[in-house]
Amino acid sequence: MPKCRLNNVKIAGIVTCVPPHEKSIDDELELFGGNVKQIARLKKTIGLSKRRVVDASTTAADLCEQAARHLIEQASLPLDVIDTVICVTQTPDYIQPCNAAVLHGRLGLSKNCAALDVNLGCSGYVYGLWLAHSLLASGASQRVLLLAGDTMSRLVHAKDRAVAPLFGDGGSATLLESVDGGAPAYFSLQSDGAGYDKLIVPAGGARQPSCADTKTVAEDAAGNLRSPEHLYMDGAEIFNFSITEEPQSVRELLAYAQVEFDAVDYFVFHQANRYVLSNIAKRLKLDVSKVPMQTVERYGNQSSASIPSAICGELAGTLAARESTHLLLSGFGVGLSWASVLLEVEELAVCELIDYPW
Amino acid sequence: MKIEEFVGIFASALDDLDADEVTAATAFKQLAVWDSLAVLTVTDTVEMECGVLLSGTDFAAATTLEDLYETVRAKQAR
Repeated sequence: MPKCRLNNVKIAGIVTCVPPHEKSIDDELELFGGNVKQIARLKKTIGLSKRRVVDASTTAADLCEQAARHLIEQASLPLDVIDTVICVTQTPDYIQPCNAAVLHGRLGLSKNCAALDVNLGCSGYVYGLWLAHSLLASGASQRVLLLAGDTMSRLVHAKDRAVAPLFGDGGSATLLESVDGGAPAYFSLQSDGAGYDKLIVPAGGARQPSCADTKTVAEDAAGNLRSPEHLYMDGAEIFNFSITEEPQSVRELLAYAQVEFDAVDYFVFHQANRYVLSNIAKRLKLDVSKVPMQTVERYGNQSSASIPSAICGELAGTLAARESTHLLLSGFGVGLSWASVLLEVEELAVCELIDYPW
Repeated sequence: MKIEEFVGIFASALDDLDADEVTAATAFKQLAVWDSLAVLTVTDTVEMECGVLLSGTDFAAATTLEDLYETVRAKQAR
């Protein structure tokens, strides 16, 4: 596994934008065949509650643009100092061009700016941070705008109980700068492509192009509806992956960095659901007050935006007040792919969660 | 680990199931409480208590709790 230490990079601000429309599992009695007891169990055990979803005309790029505009404004940043835009998404506006190029244009950034997408989901924010740190630490870039967002709600079939109640939407913008003498960041990145079909949208790409057949909705053995153009998740396999690989990679990263668990102020995991989060916390014997978990119950599983969403929604006050905060960020999911970073955030002045305008 | 102990672990993983409702001979997939959520909580509890990760195939291949117990024992021995 690549593990590395990268120096002299500073996170200067993070903004996350969520859509205003809220859905609640309490309003979806019909989806669960009128089974009130099952909804009660899902709420209690998995922690399913509310989620925020976009309408049919709003995209991840829209949410990321809003987050970026707010960040640039709050940080009083001249547009021409941004020399790299990285957009992490699996729900881009177009098959081509990439979202980073589209957003580069919409934000009016300088032509002296690299723009590229990263096709990753729940692990994607940490992968994006790794790329940004690598570019800044090597001198290849001076200032990176990292955009991470997804609209998974638009990929699930409304009558697929295995995924529909889980996913929400969100878009984020993070500004990273090269600085002299910044604290080191420690990364670990891993993949298991043999599990590529455990979390997948099978059709609509080049392997199985969209056609009438791929739009046909069928009922699976569990009574859930979906077409090959919808998101499919093998819940049990993804759960097994989350509770084994994830805690192990966190242990290994802290050992590599020679940092004790106690020295980490917050462990911000990808907000999959409360059950997965509390299981990881239990296996790592973490103090749950150090593990943000409310984001997923308010906004749903926001894929690549879930980690910045948890930082902005649950830690903004702490990060602004403290001179320095040690964060362990860790994402895991589609790929299969998982990644962790241990980093230090200094007096984060811009850290906000905003609503997308109606 | 004895079979009785494993049956107890299985029952403890399911909120709506009392320990005296199941035995080694229980065809667990026929239980009213058995669903995809039960698969997760049983997998989780067995991993914590027995140190073994059960897969979807393991559940599919087993009929009774004794079958599942044998799978866990076999995996523990590896």
